[in-house]
Amino acid sequence: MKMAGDTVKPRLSIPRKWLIPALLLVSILIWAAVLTMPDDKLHVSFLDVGQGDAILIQTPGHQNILIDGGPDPQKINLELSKKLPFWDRTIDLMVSTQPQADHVTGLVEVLRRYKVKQVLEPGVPYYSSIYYEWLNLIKDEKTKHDIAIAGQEIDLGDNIKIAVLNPPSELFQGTSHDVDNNGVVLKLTWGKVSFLFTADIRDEAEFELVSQRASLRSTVLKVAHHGSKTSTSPQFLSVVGPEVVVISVGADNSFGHPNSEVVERLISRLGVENVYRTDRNGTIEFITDGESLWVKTEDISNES
Amino acid sequence: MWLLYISCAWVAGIFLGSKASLPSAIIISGLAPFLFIPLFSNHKNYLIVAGFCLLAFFGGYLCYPSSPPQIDEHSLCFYNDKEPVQIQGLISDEPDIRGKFCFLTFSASEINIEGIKKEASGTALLRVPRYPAFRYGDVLQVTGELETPAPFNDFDYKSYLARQGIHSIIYYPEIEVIDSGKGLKPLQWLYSLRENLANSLARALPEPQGSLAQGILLGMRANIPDSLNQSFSRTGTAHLLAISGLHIGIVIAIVLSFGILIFGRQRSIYIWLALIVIWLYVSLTGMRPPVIRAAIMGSLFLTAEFLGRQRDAITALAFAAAVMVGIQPYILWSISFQLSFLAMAGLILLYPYFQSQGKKGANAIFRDRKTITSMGNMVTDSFAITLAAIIATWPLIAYNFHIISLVALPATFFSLLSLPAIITSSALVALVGLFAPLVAQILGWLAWLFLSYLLLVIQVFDTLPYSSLPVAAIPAWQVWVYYAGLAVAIAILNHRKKSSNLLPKLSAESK
Repeated sequence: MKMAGDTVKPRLSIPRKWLIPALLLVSILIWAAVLTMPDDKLHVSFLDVGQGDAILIQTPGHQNILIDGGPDPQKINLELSKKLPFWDRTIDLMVSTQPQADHVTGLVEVLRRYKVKQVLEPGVPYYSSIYYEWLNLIKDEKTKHDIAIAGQEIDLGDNIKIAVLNPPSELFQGTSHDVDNNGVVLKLTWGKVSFLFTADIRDEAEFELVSQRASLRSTVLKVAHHGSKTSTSPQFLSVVGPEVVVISVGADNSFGHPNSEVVERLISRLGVENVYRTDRNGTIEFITDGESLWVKTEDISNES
Repeated sequence: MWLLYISCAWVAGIFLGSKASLPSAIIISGLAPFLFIPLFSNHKNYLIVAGFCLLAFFGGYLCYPSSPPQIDEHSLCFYNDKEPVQIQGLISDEPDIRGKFCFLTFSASEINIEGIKKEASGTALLRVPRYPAFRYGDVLQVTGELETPAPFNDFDYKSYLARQGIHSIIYYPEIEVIDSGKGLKPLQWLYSLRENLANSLARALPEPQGSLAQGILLGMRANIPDSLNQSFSRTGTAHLLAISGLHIGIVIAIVLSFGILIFGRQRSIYIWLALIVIWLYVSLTGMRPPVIRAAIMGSLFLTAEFLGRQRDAITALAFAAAVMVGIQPYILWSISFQLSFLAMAGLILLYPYFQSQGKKGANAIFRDRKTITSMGNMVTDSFAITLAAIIATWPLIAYNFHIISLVALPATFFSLLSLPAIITSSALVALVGLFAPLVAQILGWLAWLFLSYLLLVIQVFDTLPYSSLPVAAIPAWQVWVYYAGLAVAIAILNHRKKSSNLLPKLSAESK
């Protein structure tokens, strides 16, 4: 009958009909993967996550290191997705420089969504519900959990290294803010280019680092504590001798960060074009081959 | 037909009930038409229907709960805007996560005032940080100040919450978890399944693709960035994110289109297929009231289609609306209810007309080439659905959201192309992710592709100049005039169709 003809005919033509779109999809996917392949340079991105820190390091050897996650679970995911290729769901090392919410909140969300191989944190005694949530997740996911101590070194291959400069083996006690001062300070070096990530440390920890003659000299400095006036002392700045600085700060934040005195100190030393701010420049990406340094920023229209 | 009139009278009665108060004895006047039956026995049927309509009208009117509930020292809102209190209770709904924070629906059982414990009842909304995460069924001890919900901008937050039975709100209370797993077991199971499905999407996909998939597949819009939400509104495609009548209507239509392609004219098979797909989908979306409502309407639509009786579909729709409004009068004021009702009415009344016109056009252009014609039909069908839904809903959207999208038709059309692929591929990712996260990640690449396509479409249309017009406040009467005009146009269209005895192509096919 008519019925039989109607049902059989399309069935025969289905494979042929669907082959073309299927092949098309696969080839688009392959192209998308190829186009998002990482290059052979080192990328350090200061992510625009509002009032907080979040830094992503992507090495030529394909490793992803995330230092802090900022205060906003949504923003960190969006920013990470912009920088990581769509097929990459792995963070090789997650660092929480200190346990406060503006560093760790985003990390909770990242831990839920990405395969995190290892975490590093100062391990200072501190209670907050978000920090405990993060610790519990690490336990649940059975992620390797290390405590940062000055003197450790992390080898990322291709002669790229991260040195841990702070906290000291004997944690700061009785300073103006122990949690801030015990923050994890890292120095990333590749050839002639180096980055110093100073977390939220205050002048006490800065002074200690200077007096220990730690090798602080760096090309790029992440200004400590969102440019607060309790950090980035002139002495520390002259020992580090950066060519470029980055202030990771949210627009119109309630803390009054960054402090205008600190900003002026930086501008008078480096020139206004070498002072980058995430509230003005958006996400700031540094690209280096170990010799030269390139900077990529987003232009931010006045969004609050 | 009489069911249609009675349903309409009932809904109108409930609407009036919110506006005015009349003595309850007025319902007796509904009996009046019956008195005339002996006098005008020729018109007996009309009189009976008229009588029932009046009864339904005043019944609906009386049904509206006009008097506010009794407030005493055992009800939670009694303590609004006073000293901080300590309350024990249960999280009685799925936590509503919003970016940085989260809303918990908290049903009180006990209140502690100055050391004296009292039984308490009532529901409060708790605004809490996103972490630590709470779950449906957690028993909490909450310390904080109960506040009466304050209006923000021009939005009447108080009545909005009151319609959901919530009269108090607590901002960032101190919370101690006492117990967990005290909710209804099936709901607990369903919510945790939903959470796991959402997690497997989040793990497999980058952002905003992941949250887009959560929105489209599971109706979880919480993680979708505001800027993206606005892009969807400006391009007139926000309905893609809300699982409403339109959404389910589109899913049905797409299943039907594919059903026709695969099973040919075996109508019963693809109708059943669509029914199964809808209800599977409903359980996936967490059996939320708006989704169930949309699915009931969708199922009624399908059944009407199965019977090949267009008029019965609109009656069934009116009846479904009457039942739902009868159970929860407040949903009459919910925008999502109004939109899903109108979109469905648009689909029933306008879609067949557009579809037959589109088919005529496709046949005229492609004549004998069968595969191209069927492809052409799929395209015109999608256009017909979109157009029918847009014509039925745009004034209401303009009235409520102060926006008219000028690119809604092409934007919806191009987004629609990806919707079945997005729903299928992200459903696969979510399900497989429960068992094999690695496989899900690879499947996720496919879902990523479709979701990125949708994002591209939305962004391209959003950046076009004049993609949307902001409109000033529209007076309600203009909206009413539009719908009255639309109703007249549809009536004329149907009348002409009947008089020229031109049956729509769809019902011709059913024979």
